[in-house]
Amino acid sequence: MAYLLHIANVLYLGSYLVKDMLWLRVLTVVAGVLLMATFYLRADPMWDAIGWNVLFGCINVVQIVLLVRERRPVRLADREQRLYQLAFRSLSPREFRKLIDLATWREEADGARLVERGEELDRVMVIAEGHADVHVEGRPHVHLGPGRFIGEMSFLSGQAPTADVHAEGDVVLVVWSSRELRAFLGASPDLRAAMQLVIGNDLVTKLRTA
Amino acid sequence: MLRVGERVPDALLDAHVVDARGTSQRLADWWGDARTLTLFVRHFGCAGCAVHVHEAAGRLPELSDLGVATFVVGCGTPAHAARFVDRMALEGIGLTVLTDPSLAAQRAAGLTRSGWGAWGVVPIVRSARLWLEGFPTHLPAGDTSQQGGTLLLDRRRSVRFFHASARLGDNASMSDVMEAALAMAGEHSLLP
Repeated sequence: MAYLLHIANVLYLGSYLVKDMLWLRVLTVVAGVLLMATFYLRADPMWDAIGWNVLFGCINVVQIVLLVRERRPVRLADREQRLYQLAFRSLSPREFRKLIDLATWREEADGARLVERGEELDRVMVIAEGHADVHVEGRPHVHLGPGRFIGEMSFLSGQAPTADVHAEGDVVLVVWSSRELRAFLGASPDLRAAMQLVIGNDLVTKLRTA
Repeated sequence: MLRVGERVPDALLDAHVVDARGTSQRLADWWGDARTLTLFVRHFGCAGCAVHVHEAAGRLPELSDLGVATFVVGCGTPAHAARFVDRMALEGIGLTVLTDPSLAAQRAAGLTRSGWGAWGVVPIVRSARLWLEGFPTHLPAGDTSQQGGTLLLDRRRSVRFFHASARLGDNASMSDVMEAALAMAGEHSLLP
């Protein structure tokens, strides 16, 4: 029985040496099971110690399941993969998955007004396919292609747009509700910072071509 | 106290600050005509300020792309500033570290002075937590009662974002700063 105790402690030692959180927890669970066997096989089983180890084991098993889920590969549909490559490469695929799950895909016909100047805009859009033109005083100001954002300035400033945007040919848009996106990013600080990088890159590109 | 939308007072623009090499000039001259983000640190040994500068340093490329120049203003000696630059590996990354031992710039910005903000229970607990995260408190290098702040200005020297820290580690969120910087960079673009 003593050898079980030694094996358990060698596993604990191993868990202290590894840097990977998953391995640390797996080794701890196995060591805990051996320790519980040691406590149980005594002439007078140590039920209090077994109880505590069951609790520790349960917590570790739940955390192991969460870690394994997080490490599973992310599956993206073809059109999602194209959009990821176009505009969201600075996000991890898992971050992009969370973001895209919040959005809706919308098709608009040629000439459709996507944004109206002076009217409060409650959404942020990205062009997945097709093109759009930003019109100022009736004239094209900036031409937007796939991967470009629409409505990001209203999203950032909270002010009504100062220009109209029209579809130039048929377009496919990915649309987020500003309110939902703001709440979602507010609860995910890392993703908020990553999204700011995406919007910043988009803005800088548009400012250089405007 | 500075307010968003208002121009900063002349006293702040005219405050003389020194860089780590001992070059002294008006804060307005350091800023030039760029959009600026200025992080006022408590003193150069402060752990809470170190983590704030570290977070800002990680976003310098984004700020630079938006035309925002970033400055750190402390209150120690130029030698303290030089040691801070060395310890934080800030040399050559596009961030200018300045200091104002007279505290004129901090006063003009309306930043808080509080001994409790440095030696109270919350700051001490926060210092311990930051030490565990790899940001130890170093020996005081400036006025420990002086609290920090974060100031984002446009080219007209109007305030676009301002946060005055109440105590050690009460830092502005860099994501909030970035959001204000993005809005500022795109405001005259006529983009929707």
